[in-house]
Amino acid sequence: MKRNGVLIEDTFAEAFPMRAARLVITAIDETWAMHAARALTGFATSVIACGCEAGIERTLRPTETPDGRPGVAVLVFAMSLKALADQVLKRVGQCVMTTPTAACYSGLQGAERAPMGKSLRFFGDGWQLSKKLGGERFWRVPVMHGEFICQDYAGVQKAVGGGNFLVLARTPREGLDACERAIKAMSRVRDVIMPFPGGVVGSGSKVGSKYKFLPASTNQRFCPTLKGAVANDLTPEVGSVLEIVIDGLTPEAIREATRVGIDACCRLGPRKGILAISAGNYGGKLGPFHFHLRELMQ
Amino acid sequence: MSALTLTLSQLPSHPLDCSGLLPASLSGLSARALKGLLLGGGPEPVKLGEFFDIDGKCDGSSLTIINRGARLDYLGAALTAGEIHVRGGAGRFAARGMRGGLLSVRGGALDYLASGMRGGVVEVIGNVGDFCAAALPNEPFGLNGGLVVVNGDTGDRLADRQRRGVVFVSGSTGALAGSRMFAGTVVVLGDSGPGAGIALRRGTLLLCGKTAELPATFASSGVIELPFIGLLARKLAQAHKRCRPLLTLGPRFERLCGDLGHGGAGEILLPAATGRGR
Repeated sequence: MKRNGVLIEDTFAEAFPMRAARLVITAIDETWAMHAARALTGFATSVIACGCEAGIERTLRPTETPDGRPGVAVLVFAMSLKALADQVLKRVGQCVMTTPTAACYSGLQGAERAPMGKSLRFFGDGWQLSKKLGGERFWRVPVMHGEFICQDYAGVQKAVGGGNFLVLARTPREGLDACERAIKAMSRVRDVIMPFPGGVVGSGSKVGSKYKFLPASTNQRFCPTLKGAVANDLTPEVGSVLEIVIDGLTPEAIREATRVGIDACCRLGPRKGILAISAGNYGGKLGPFHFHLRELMQ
Repeated sequence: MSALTLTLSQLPSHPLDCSGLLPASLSGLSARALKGLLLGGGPEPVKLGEFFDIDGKCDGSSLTIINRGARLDYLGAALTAGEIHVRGGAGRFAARGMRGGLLSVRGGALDYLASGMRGGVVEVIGNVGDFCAAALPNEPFGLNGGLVVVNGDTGDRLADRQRRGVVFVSGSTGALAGSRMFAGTVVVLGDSGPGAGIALRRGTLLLCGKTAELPATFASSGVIELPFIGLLARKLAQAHKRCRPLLTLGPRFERLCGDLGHGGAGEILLPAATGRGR
């Protein structure tokens, strides 16, 4: 199957179940809400070593936020409710509460919950105020910039992590041009994040390693420098392989983001250095969610 | 068959205790059983059929009571679910101990509206008497949850000893609003009488109109930008359309901490334009 001359390989992306929370961060203006969101989603590219995967979902208009101020929605993913709760609490406490004028609310009505204000309220040292409005509890913590408002809990829901596709390009520059276009298009899809720097992974991994202490290592099958040295599917023209990883609240959201992203890459075609699209999987052993590229692009 | 409507046909000489008139209690009762239902409040119990015309059958979800000048006490008392719509005003103790559902009153209510209420929504179109959302003299707490919306004025001692929940008053309120409050939120769009917040422990009094003399035991924190105002306005506007005027409030309020004689963990919020700035 080819799209605009770009080969879509007959393979699938393999994803696995996660837990996710959406946090709505507001502030006096979008700039400061974005400062808080960027701090919160920093060092959150992969659960391999970051504890969670997080990213900015979209900016929110004042009419879309609980307190009528500009805001940013971020999604945080982790492998378990316990791990997610730990990360949400630390990141909201250290990154949102410390941002001048910022407030933090839950953006999901999940069956499970991760504490936020319930624990952070103690920063108020007894001066914190609780308000229950519309069945939800909010904490008003007096801080030096004025008042930090934080919802009691963040709703948590089941989600999907590790959706992906690979862009096989002639050069790194051409691969990045395609990925930048893909990320721009994918950022318009709701309920997903691309947690890596700029949304793009330059060092995609496989599960396991020859070293027993290492849970993940380089995916040699797609390393251009190892062509000839290992079993490798890359054609001689491929000089760079970039991966876009997608975490989503639902499989449908990942499917749509993948479709939109691949479509944006393929628009450049082989003349602009985009040779093929592939995906990372582990033979179906890693997770129950399989996104077959050719089905998606039909 | 239409929903059950009770229309007052004869003016009783004494107040009627209407605490038994709940959708769940009347559900499935025949017209004969309804007519024979006993109402207290006077020297002798009286039958419902003596004073009300009965139309329709109650399905357990809704009940309409049309009042024509009688003092109907305890309307919606201990209501847990369903809706009661009252036309023509309510007497004393309406929504007392209510835990859920909706009590909607057109025509005002007398004293002790929503005393001891724990949940649900009460809306009153018209003026309300004293001790709205307040505790009875022998009780520790007044309003203990839920939302009370008054589209009119209230008398004295609004929300006395309130512990939880929200009271919204679109008009003015009398003296000593929020006195001895433990927690919760009271919003008054109109003017408020003297002594508001006296002995307040925690909780918020948002007084948007002119305020008469406030207790000397409140200390001003000055004018502060409070995003909480936006949150409160939006949550209340979502909960009840009569609260939508709150959306026009700006974020700058003078915050008065108090009552300092009772811990000082409560607050009176005054719009910056009307704040006293002492």
